[in-house]
Amino acid sequence: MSEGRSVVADESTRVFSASEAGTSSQPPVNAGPQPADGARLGTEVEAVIGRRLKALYDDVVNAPVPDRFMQLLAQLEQAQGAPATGAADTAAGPATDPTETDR
Amino acid sequence: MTPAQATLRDDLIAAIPNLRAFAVSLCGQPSTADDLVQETLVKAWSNLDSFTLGTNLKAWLFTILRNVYFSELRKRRREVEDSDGAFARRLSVHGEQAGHMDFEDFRAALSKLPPDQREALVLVGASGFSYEEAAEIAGCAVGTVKSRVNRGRRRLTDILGVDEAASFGPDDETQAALVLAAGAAAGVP
Repeated sequence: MSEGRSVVADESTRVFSASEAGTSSQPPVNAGPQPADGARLGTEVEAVIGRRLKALYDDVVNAPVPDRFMQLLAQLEQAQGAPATGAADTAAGPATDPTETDR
Repeated sequence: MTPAQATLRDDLIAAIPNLRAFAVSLCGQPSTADDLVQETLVKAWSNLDSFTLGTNLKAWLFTILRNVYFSELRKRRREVEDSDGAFARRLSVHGEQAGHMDFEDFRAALSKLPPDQREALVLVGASGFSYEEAAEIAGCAVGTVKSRVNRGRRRLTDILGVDEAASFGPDDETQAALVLAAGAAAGVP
């Protein structure tokens, strides 16, 4: 394998992240100061792991979306109307932020 | 439905494939994963008023999904990982067969990682988030994400019993590289 493998891993990550707003640092294969535990593996091993991971992941991303989800959204629209933007739905009970982890 | 609401609905739909992929990587079972995605969509729909339009919807949805997953884990007080010993024994036989680690072995190894390492690896390596975004989604420090990624990679190679890239066996890119290298050696431009 040539040294170019690590560049491929960078590019695939960078391209994938380009559509995300507000990204700052990308996870490079060769970063600067390393954390004390978990020393870096060889760049080629990391690149292969990255590709395998991406392949497993992309298999599902590229699969057709099961009907159940479109049906779910149709049911949600019927039950709750259009997606709530701005006004709190008091009928749904106390508002909880689903991005807060249960502790 | 206003244009903003319609766009939001379309963006939700567009995020479903990624949510399914993230869910499968977290819980390892496609049917459980789709249940996770279902619960995520229901929570997201009824809480869209807490989402700020213009911010990263995908990251917001991923955060909901991983919170559902991890709170389920805590409720069941049960870890996804199996006894590494039994799995490693099975692999040590397989590993002797010319080191061809197929995707099923990789998928199985991934499922043996501690969930926080698996989550970090997937967020950063497959879902396309930066370390900072991954840290927000996982609710931890950026340094924690980095060390989980490094430990996860190391643990994967330990579980798979490989320490060289070549031991993973050829994948598409490796095959292409081998063909190019062979061509170069033969003097083909």
